[in-house]
Amino acid sequence: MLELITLTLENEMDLVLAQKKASKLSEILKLSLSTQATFVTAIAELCRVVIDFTDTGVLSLGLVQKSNRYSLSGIIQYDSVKGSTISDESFFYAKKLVPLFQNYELADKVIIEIGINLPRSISLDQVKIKFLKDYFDTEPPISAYEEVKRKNLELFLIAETKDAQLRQSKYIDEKRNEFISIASHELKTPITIIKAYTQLALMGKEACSEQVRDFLLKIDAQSTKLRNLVQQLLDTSKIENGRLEYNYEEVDFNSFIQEASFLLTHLLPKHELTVELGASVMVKLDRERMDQVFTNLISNAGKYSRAGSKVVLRTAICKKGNLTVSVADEGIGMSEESIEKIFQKFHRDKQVVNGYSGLGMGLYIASEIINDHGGKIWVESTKDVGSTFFFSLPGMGVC
Amino acid sequence: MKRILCVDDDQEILDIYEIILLSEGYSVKTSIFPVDILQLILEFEPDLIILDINMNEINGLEVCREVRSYISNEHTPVIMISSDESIHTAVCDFGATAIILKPFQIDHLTETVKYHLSPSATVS
Repeated sequence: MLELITLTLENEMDLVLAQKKASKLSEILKLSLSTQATFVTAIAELCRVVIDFTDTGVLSLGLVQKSNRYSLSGIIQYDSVKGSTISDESFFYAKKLVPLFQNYELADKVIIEIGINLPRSISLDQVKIKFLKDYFDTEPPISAYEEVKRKNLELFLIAETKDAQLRQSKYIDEKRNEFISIASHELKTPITIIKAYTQLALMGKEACSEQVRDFLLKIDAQSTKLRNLVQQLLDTSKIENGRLEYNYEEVDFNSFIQEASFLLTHLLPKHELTVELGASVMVKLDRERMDQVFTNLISNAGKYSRAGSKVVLRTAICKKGNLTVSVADEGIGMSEESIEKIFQKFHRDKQVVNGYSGLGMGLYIASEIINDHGGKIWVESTKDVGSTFFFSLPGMGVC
Repeated sequence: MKRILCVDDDQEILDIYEIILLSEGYSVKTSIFPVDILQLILEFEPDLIILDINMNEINGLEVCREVRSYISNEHTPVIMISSDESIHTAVCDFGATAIILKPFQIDHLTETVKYHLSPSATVS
């Protein structure tokens, strides 16, 4: 069928619309008044019955061509309902009025077709058909109701497109996270092996030259770096999936720092690290994750400042009994703009991207960890003077 | 001389276990997974088993559970090697004795093995 008009049949106002459209179409075709009336009445009955039965009905009005004759046709489709149908008797008048009537099921739809053969005097050619098509395609809404109906359809189509796009990007996200997770597991194996052989070589009974020893230490340090980067990737993907897990312990914070001090000085071979501890307090923390936070803050302090400069780690208890920790450096500092963005995932300041290595995830992960611990993390900084990173943790009472 | 059985799906890692544990004076058997572990245990009678968790296509934890129900001696320690620290609390449910994360420090591995082979080690 060459469709000229399509209309969903959802309520009685669509009945009015269907009648008007059928009327217009038969008028333009210059059918006799009685033929027009016949067609419109038949269509009206079909629509009324279907609207009464279901709201999944769709009406199409148009032309059907058989060799060189045309018929004016109306087709209504609706989703078939298990266990009930519209009986033929309901279409009493339609069947009487029009010569062509069919009511059948196809796939999971019911289809009702009516048609009136057009007299030869109405000669239709491609030009006239095109005119008809354009007429109904560009026709403005004939009522406020039709206008609303059209807008609804537009919005529905937009929503569907957006839905599909959303599903697509969710799928891509999932795949990416899966990939990062698998990749980081896979990467850990060769790193394990490199570290193991490096250590075996360093521990080995055969003495090696100072130079070789030095090379091995460098290899070990780099593979530790690799391991940390891989860990960052894995952590980021876990954060994305909401799967970052913690093993909390109640710990005396100052003791924790003291235990970690070996690790911390190791991170700053070229800087002067000063640790100023205030009163201690018990906090609930995950040792390994807190180590991660310190490793990130301390190594950043070292990375972004020149060799020989000072890095100060301070702890203090505020009036409410909560712990504040700060790491201050005399490094390159950052702008106001960067202060706002620095904890974002993948953020790397333009000024550091080319001069310093890094994935832009360390601070993001650190902030997730601190937030999950019930604390806050923030920074104060002046460009070219230095930065101080602060974080707070809820205290559990003074020791 | 204590006997240690190591099972992993990566031959390179197995080579490292062999080097490290042999130099510590243990008798070592390594086997690349998939392998009939239960048969191996029957034949070799290890005093300690080292088992990787992340083996392709099969879950090392399931293998551990099977091994645990098979070993007649409840005190035979099974040490799991994992690349993911979040697993560690679940490990005990499967009958493992300890978990080591990779990449590991060699002395951490040797200390853990030594500890679990000593008569004073507590059973989990």
